Amino acid sequence: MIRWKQARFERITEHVENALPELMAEIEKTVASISSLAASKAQVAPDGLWKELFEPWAQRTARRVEAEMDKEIGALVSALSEKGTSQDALRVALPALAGVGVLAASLAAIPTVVSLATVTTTSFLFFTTTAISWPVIAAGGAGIALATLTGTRLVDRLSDRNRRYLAARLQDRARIAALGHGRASGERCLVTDLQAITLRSLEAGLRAA
Amino acid sequence: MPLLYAIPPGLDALVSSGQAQLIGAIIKDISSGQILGHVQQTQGFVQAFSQAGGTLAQTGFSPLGIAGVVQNEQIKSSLAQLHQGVGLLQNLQIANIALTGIGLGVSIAGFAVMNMRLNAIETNLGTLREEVRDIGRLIQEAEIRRLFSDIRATLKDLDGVATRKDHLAIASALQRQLSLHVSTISDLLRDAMDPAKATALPMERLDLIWTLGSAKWLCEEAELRALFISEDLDHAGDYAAQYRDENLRCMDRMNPDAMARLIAASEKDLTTSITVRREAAGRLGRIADSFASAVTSLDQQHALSRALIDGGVGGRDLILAASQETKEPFLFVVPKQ
Repeated sequence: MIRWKQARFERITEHVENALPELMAEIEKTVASISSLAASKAQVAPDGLWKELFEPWAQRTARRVEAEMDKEIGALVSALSEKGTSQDALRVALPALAGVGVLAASLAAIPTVVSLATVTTTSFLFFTTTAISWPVIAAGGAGIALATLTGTRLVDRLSDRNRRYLAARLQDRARIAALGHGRASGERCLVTDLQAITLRSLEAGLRAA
Repeated sequence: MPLLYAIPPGLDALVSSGQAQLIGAIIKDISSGQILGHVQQTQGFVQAFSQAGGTLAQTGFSPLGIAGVVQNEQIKSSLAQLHQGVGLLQNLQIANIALTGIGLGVSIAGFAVMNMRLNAIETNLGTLREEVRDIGRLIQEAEIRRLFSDIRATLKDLDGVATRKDHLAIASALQRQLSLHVSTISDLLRDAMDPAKATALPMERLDLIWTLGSAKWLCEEAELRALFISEDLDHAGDYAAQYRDENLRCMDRMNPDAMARLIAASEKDLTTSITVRREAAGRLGRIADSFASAVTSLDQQHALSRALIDGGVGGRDLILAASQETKEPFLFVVPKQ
């Protein structure tokens, strides 16, 4: 059971890693296409743009993880039920489900007994748009709004730099929010939330078996 | 209850037909789950293992990243020459044995082999400590030297104690020393496995975990051997169960995925970080497999002690019989039904 869980956790990370280049490309494309003023505003208050970019991507990724994990959990639960050992497996799984260890924060945010489908689009998305601190604002990045009143060439130069900073900040935030890079292992990210949801879903499956 | 040098024909047929299965070193009836027999390594196994495996098998230790696949085949081929049942060999988890040094049944490896393993572990710890500041902070040089010197002295005394007249008292004293070593190494291992508030970890941290794990398993198997020799089979069973549970807890607590992401976090480039995480995940998978091997081996020793008690066979007799057998790689303990 422990190795099953560890293998699924790694698989979830792989899913998120495989999907991340798509988000990175989307960030670059969007930042390149918005107006200079919108880019400047986003440097000062990036949450709105972040939400627009991250949430649809996170939902798509979660759905892919959900589809695979549902299948895996179903196969495990039915195999254990056939052997008549599903309640033994539940006893083995319970310490991990008690909310200790590196998933504590994520598990605390997930309802105790749920199916994967009921939580993927609600609990983690709330956290990923609000609870992650932004990487430090790049020097000079926010100054462009003032510079719009000065010469055009200066504006263009600042605008390019501003877009680069903005894209880099959004991409840094994407790694933090998706994979937890730069955070201690007990802190939440999309991967840990999806892992916690999978554990809860497994618990529900085993209890029902 | 006799100690057998070949699988009883009925048991062999059950294994061949798939009605019985080898789980670790325990042969179990698939439908009832009942234990049908225990596989115990002999001197023949230790010799074949060392000859076939070269340095890796002799030391029973490999820094992570060195695969044991080729070696696994060499060991299997060498053991096959000892005319043991091929069906059984196919099922033995020899790859893990080659990587971890964890044996089948009670360890009977002599001081020379155990000392080679210990030297390899100590050297690797010293290198890691010197090369990685993070690890140097975790383990002090003087602490390593003193600890390994004590372990080496204990293993030396353990070698040959089964043939001494005063084996009961000596084995008992050695068991207590080894118990302390297990405890000390477990503390170090716990620190190494705990990332605490770190936001990134070096890849070498995995080598440290592997190395300390190897040292712990070596001391655990030596301690259980001392308990078998001292005829304290009840305690041998209890300690085996306790160590089994501790290894299981270590394995559960480790969270290989979280640790692999911490190792990847220091890479600035996303593509590189993904490559690094996958490499770390592979290594962590091997560490988790090794913990699983330790759990299986300790579980078998727990069950073996019970089988010996029920069958009225002494622990020292088992070890002497296994140590003196050089032609067959395994002997079998069939529990009293």
